[in-house]
Amino acid sequence: MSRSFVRLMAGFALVAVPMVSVQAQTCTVPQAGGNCAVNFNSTVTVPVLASLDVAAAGSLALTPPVWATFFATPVLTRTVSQTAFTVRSNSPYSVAISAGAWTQPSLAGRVVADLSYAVAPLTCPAEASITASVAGGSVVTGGTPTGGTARLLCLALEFPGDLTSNKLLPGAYTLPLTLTITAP
Amino acid sequence: MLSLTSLLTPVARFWRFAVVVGLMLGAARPVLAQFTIEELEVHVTARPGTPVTRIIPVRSDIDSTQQVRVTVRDWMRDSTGSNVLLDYGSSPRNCGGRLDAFPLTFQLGPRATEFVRVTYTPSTPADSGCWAIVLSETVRPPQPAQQAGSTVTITTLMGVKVYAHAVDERVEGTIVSADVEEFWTAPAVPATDSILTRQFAARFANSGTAHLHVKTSVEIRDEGGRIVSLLTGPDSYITPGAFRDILVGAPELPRGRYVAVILFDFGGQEITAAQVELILP
Repeated sequence: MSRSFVRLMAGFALVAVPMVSVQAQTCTVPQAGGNCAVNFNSTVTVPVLASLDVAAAGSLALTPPVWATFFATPVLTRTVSQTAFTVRSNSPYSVAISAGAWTQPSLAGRVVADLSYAVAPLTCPAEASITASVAGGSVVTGGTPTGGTARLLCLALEFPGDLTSNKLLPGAYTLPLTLTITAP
Repeated sequence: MLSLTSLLTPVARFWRFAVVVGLMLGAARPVLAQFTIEELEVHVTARPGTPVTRIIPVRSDIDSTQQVRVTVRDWMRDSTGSNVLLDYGSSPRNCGGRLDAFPLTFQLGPRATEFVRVTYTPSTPADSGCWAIVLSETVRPPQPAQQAGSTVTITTLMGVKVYAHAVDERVEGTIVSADVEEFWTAPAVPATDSILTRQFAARFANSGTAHLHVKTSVEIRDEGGRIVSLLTGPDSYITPGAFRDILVGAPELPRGRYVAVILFDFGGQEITAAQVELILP
């Protein structure tokens, strides 16, 4: 008897709960045979999503001149290196570039202005067209939402045509670059 | 005569092909971002006595654990709209000790999400607002020193701009100048002549205390008053007290005299306009 009562109450609860939730809604029937419409609002919040992928994040070796040729006839030379970067964002964005200082051999005299950049969609332009300073600038200004726009960051490094230059002292030269993605 | 290639067995050819394809795929595979930021802007109101906290989710995109470093800096936009990062506290409209980000370093597990809390504590009486940027980056182990050659190390930063708005901010904008610029440009293909290029150049200043989002358009009318061209300029974002140089390329039109009306919709009560004359001899 008691078990039957519990079963009855459980069944009543299963039926009653959906009925209670339905009572909060309104059904409008404008005329006989008309449709019954129950309207409700549902809300979802989509966050701003943004990421910046750089193929050479970490380290990128810059292209040197052909040393045998350069040594035989030293002339001012600019070499081009490149790395791809991809932005994914569902809102407007900007990408800026900045540079620190060269880590270089003692007495060497490389300056940030020796390295310049350009941004290209598919292939890097000729080295003469790569002129923007990496010291600070906008790689992408006012970018629009994108599911993954790939671009090339083209870097041109200048080698002076004078073997006695303090920019040609033997050793390793490293420049830290930073790419920053922000809202516009 | 048999060449070396023809002597290779089909199996050897397959493996050579597989190695080449593998190298190509390996070279072409993009490196995934270390993490994704789920906010690029945070807006708070500088209401006295009410500290405001906002949460910035940082979601890992990789299968390994990484250490993330958070820093707060100042920023400004130059006249071309480029963002310039500055040392914290060096900008005239810096947030000083009113802005706090926590934690400044944290460990982000594989595919995990962590949260950076940004808290703004307004001053009393009410201040005129400020702005800053919260930067996040993956801390990488130091690279082994190169023996020779030139290298760049590339770091990516994800920046979340923080805007603390004044309670009673004013939306005001002023046209400083507007004109038609003409200059010669080299053509895209080799040729003997340069190309005369014209553009509408306007300087628009934010003379209020609110951040402005300016939409620019240009109406070109002929002498009969008919609209012959409608142009849309770039969206411009201008901080209080700053200005932006807005450039809109002029279209090719038949010879004649035209009037161009440059319209600036900056979210104020009305749209501001400047009128310039365009003469094509």
